[in-house]
Formats: sequence, structure tokens, C-alpha cells
Amino acid sequence: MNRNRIIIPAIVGGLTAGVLSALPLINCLCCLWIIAGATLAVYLHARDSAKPVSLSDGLLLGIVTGLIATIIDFFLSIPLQAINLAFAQRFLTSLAQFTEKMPFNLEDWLKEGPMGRFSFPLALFILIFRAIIFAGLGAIGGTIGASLFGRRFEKP
Amino acid sequence: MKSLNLKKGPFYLWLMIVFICLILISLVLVAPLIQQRWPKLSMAIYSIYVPFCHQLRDRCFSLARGPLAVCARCFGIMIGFFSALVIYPLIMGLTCPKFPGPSWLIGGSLPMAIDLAGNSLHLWSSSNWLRFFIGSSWGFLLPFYFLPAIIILWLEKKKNETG
Repeated sequence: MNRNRIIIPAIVGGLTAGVLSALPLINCLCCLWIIAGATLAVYLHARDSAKPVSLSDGLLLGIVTGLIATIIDFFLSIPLQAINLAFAQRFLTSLAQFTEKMPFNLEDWLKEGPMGRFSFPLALFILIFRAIIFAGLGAIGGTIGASLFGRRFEKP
Repeated sequence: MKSLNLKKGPFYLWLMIVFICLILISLVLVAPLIQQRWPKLSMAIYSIYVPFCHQLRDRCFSLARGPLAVCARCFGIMIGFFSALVIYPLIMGLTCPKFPGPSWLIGGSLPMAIDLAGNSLHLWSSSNWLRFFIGSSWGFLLPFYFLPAIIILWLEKKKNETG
């Protein structure tokens, strides 16, 4: 596999997976966006490739796509966290009109945000595990993509 | 010695993937269990799964009065994947990787696609157990594509190294 030719499909797939996983409401399709992003990357690679895409090629492309999606999701979650918190604060304000006692620690949580309460080692722990899961799901999506599209664009 | 390495390599790879899966499943179960004692660590574990799952409370199984870190469907996918991973060497072996055709994957994804579409369009609302079983049946399929690809990649790498 030509390593240089996988970069563009991996970026497109990673961008798709990262954005759709980070957006609130749209990310309700479980882990399928990452698998779909990696499958898309393999599809794009297979379309432009003269040789059929093997399962191992799909796997590698999926892992790269997953890692790109991790980075995109990480950076996108920073501005989106503010939007999510603004929504949650509005919801809590209206909830406070109906209940006397607010849930434990929820106000502090809203002031600082979910990541604000974590120390650097904990934040790193989260990021490493997310990268592992993104890469694993990307690898699964990549092999699925290679199985579906690997031979479809084979040129005679 | 080399052929011994070629047999042992895929086994170690398989063992490593089983181990990683076991950790990821354990974390899903541990998050609600440590909620009272170590709330920060529990919250960190919940945060790991945020990009992968909606984590809606009514769609998650409960453990120790807290929701699991992922929804019933995602937990089903994880359990199905892990189960297939564990029995894979017994069914397919690890030394000569074979994988089923894409029709198995498409057919196996149909129940999941139908259930997702029906729930999203509010045609019906599946119970958590149904979501779990549909998720696990789909997850069960995945190692049959994933593991051969990893073994092939490893064998190719070894072949290139030996020239």
C-alpha cells in the first residue's frame, strides 16, 4: 500500500467521524460514526487505487482514521463544551423553579465543566483510552470497508 | 525457531486484544461501582465513552444504582465482540487467517439497521435487553473480519522483515 495515498482518505474519514461523534444530538448512533468514517476512508482509497485494497490495508487505514478522529474530537469538544454547558445551565435554571433541592454537585459541575474537574493525569488517562477506542473502532471500520469495497474498484 | 515465532506471534496478538477488550469492558462496569467512593475517577471513566455513546440513563443498564458507562446497545456490541474474540481461535484457528464474505456482514447488520431505523423514526421503542441482544449479535460478527486482518498484517510484516 502506498502510504502517501492513504493520508487524504484518512483525513476525510477522520474528519467525518470526529465531527459527527462530537456534535451533540447527532452522536446518538453509538459508536457507528467512527466505523462509518473508517469505512468511508477505505471506500475513497479503493476508488482511487489501481490495486484491490486488502484487509490489512483497510485495517491500517482504519487505525490512522481513528487516530485523526481522536484529535478532531478532542479539539472540537472544547468549543462545543461551552455550548453544551450553556444548554445545561438554561435547563437547570428552569428546573430550579420546580424543585427545591438541586442534585448533588451539579452546580459546581456546570461552573467548571466535566473536564474542568479533572487533573492533568486524569485528562491524559481519558485521552489515551479514547485514542485506543477510536483506533480500535477505526480498525474494525477499515476491515469492514476493505471487505465491502476492497475489490469493487479493481481495474482489469 | 522461526516457524515457532510465526505460530506464537498471532497468539500473543490475540491475547493482547483480549486483554484490551477486557479492560474496556471492566471500565464500563467499574464506573458506577466506584461512583460513591471515587467520584472523580468514576466521572473520568464515564468521560472516556462520551464520544462513542449517548449514555442516556434510561437506555443504560444499572449497576449499584448507577448507569453503566455505555448504553445497552453499545454494551451488547462490546460483549458480543469479546465473546467472539475469545472463541475465535477454537473455531477458525490463528495461524491461517480466513474471513467470511461481505454478505455475512451485510446480513448480520440488518437487524441492527432495522432496529436503529425503527427507534430513530419513533416507529417503536425497543427494550434495553432487545437492544443488548441485537448489539451483541452484531458485535459477535466483527472479530471474524478484524482478527484475520490483524494476523495477515502481522504475517506480512514478518515476511518483509525476513525478506
